[in-house]
Amino acid sequence: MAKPKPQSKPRKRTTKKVKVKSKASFFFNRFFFKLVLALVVIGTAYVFYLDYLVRTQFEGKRWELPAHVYANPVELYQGLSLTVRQFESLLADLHYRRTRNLSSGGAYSRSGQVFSLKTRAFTFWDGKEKSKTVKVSFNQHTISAIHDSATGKAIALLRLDPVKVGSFYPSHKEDRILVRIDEVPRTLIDGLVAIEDRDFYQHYGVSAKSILRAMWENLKAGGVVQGGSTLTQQLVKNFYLTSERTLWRKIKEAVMAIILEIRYQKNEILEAYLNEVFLGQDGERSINGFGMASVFYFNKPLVELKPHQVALLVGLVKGPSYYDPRRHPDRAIERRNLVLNEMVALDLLPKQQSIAAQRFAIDISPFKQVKSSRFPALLDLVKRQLGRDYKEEDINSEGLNIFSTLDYTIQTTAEKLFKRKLEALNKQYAIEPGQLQGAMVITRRESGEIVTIIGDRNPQFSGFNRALDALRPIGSLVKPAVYLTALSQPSKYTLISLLDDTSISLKQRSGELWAPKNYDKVEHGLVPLHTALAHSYNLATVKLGMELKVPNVKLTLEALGASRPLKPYPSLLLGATPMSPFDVTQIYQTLAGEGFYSQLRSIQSVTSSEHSALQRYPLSVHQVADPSAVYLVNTALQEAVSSGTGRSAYQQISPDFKFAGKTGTTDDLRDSWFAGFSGDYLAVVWLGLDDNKPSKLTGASGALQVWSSVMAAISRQNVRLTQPEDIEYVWVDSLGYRANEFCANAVQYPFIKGSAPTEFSPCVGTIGGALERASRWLDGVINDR
Amino acid sequence: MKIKLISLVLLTLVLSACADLSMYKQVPAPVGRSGEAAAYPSSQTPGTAKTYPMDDPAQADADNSYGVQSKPVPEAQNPAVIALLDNALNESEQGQFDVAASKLERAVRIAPRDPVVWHELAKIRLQQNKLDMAISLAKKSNALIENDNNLLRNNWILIAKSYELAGNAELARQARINANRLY
Repeated sequence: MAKPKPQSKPRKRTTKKVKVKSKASFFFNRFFFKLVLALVVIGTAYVFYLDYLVRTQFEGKRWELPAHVYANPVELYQGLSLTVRQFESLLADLHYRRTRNLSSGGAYSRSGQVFSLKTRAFTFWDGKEKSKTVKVSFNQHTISAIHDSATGKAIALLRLDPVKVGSFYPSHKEDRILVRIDEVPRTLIDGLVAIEDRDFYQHYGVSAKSILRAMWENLKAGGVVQGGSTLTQQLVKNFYLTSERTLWRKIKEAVMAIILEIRYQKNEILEAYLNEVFLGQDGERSINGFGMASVFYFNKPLVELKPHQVALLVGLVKGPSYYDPRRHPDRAIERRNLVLNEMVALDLLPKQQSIAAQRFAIDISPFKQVKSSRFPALLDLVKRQLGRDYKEEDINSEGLNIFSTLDYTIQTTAEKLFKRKLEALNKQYAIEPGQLQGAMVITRRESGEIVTIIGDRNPQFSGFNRALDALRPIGSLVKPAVYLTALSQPSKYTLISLLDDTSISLKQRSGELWAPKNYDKVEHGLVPLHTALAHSYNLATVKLGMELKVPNVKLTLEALGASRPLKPYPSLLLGATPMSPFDVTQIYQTLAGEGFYSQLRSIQSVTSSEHSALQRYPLSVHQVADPSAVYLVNTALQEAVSSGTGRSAYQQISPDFKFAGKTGTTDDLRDSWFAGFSGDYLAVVWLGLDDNKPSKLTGASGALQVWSSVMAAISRQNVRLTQPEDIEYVWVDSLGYRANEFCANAVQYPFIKGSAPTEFSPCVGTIGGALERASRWLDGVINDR
Repeated sequence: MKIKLISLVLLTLVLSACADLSMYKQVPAPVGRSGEAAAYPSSQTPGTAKTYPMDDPAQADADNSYGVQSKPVPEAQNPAVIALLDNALNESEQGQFDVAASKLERAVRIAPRDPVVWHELAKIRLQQNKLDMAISLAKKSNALIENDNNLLRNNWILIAKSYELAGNAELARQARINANRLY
């Protein structure tokens, strides 16, 4: 029907007369006939080609959808330590509106310590959370109760919708949320038809009536004020064609529109239109389709919009930039009211409702969405971890929902403090302004889930991701591995074994002598093993490591989680091996996990664009080190913070936290490291200069300052180390003999059973004997009665 | 073409009918699309919920003690954790092991050092025949236990079973011995 039928010129008039007339004419006619035939053939082929084009794209994957990355959702429960202020700021981060009227999801009201909120529905990997209205009551610093407002029943656990922390866009940067025609408010369809194509349900793709009407209107106005394009033609234009304005394109558009109408139902065409249409621009990101526009302009799903809001969106179709409600609210309102009036004129909306709707002022949400680059270090990591299971093009175009492990509150808190501290240190140490760089990784202590990752002094700057890619020597951060190797041999080493902290020089492979020094340039003589670790003595460590043999230390490092190749040279004992902050975090994760390795994870799960479960990245642990030896190392790392190199931590935070951690400083103060954990989080900080020049910061004066200010803000649990069965505490005197609590200066140390000193201190002989006699006498008195 | 016309007429009818309805009572359509992930609400308070008086135990700093770790006061389990354990149990009874594991991982986020949660996770992995994972999780649970011989024993029994299934008779035997010591 739609095929153009070029009129074939009469070809049977080949009378004698003509024949006689001229040979030239004969040839001309034959040529013409052939030409027409060729045109018909080409035309038909072309129509078939267009039909193929229309079908493949319409029936195949119509849109490339961006993937969205979410933070770990907040779960509220009775007893959660959270202040009213924190909660309110959390609701702000989740873009909840404070209002009296809890009619739609994402709204709350507050009266004193009690919040009423209506949550948004959300589908997670493991199920759907429905929207519900709840009351959350606070008591000092905790949530005291959560009740369902409808039933009054207590709610044990309330999972809120997650904050979207970023997206991976297809190359064209179009962002859309697909909607189905049966999810679309009727007003939207009516409004759209009324203002853009009132004959939509009658025409066959092109409408002569519309074209005539448009011509008439344009003549009246003396310029182009109305287009005669049907919705179908607009769809074809956006979907298949470029925006060039030529007659040929117009013809192609009309033909394709007709093909589309023949092939598909009106509703299918309309659904495609609703999802395709361009409705706004947000920086590089283009807002396409009404589903996305609803979120972009009103921060609500389409189905929750009121008629005045729907009409505003419909008005945008004509020119999203000219009628941009954020920049030109007056134009947007005028256009909206025009849409409403047209609807009334066509009997699609009762007059009084139009009047009611027109009374509304502009009520655009102040929130756009989180920029796709708001958390660049995280998105970088997520993409790399996802890249093991998905192709890059699928990540960018399949509309995946990626549930990351990021804790939005901790990440944003840490970013603020990190930035502030770096600026202060930059100034304090007279480093060239803006040159001090850094990175930070924070994980959950028991599971290795990454809650925060920062890769630049300006955490929002997307560039070199130092958390993953800055490879720097780790200095003394390596030492716990040396001491763990020793303490795993309890028959040879205990926490109180004496180490020799005197000068040492070793011949290197190159033939050069290597003569390490202590940081304070002093030799400390014989020192207990725990002191050597807590005070980070280099000489004692190198001598110990040489006794243990460097390849064994290398094995320990690898067991703990070091993944880069390590060279078993003596300089390894002082951390002359480059690693990224992420690599270091993986090693310390095993110490924080008390001997259990957990792979660092940035992704929990992935669902498809239709929310079906695709993939989960489960929590896994694997025991890689003797928990008793790790226990001993961890107690020494607690000493390192309480009285060793890390003690300045407790200037900012209570010593009750009993942090376990280690400073790291490299030659000429080029790198400043701190790695350590609280009861709930492990954090690693690196500071230094990109050009590898000295930064003048030690681990303690630089990285530790950042570490402790962040830990003071986020930690809630003090470090509790579970005492393994074969650990016993034994009193020891200052000379290393077995003592008891009555001996002067005796201290209780943990030992792996059987490794504690057996020789008694002289003090046990006198006082201990007296005690024994006393207790025997006491027993006698009691027995006499 | 006829079908098209009929549907057109029908649509017009529907249209005019809709236009009469109050526009403020639009039937809410679901947000997003329902996929395979079914609705598993995770929020009912189970009947077994205990009260929640969880303050951190006061830190008694023993003088002259090196690295002596404070003994925690046994905590009543958090109702949120109990709810998730309940959910996980339901899911695993229906054979939804991964969903169950996901619930338990949420419980780990709330109570990371609760050995019961780690034990339940180990049970799920054993049911899935992920033996290495089950053994490691049970060991982790054991590493977190303070004064709960029952749970210790259950973990060792689980470890023994896992080793048996993995065909490692010697390690299974040792695990049994460890379990039997706790009776």
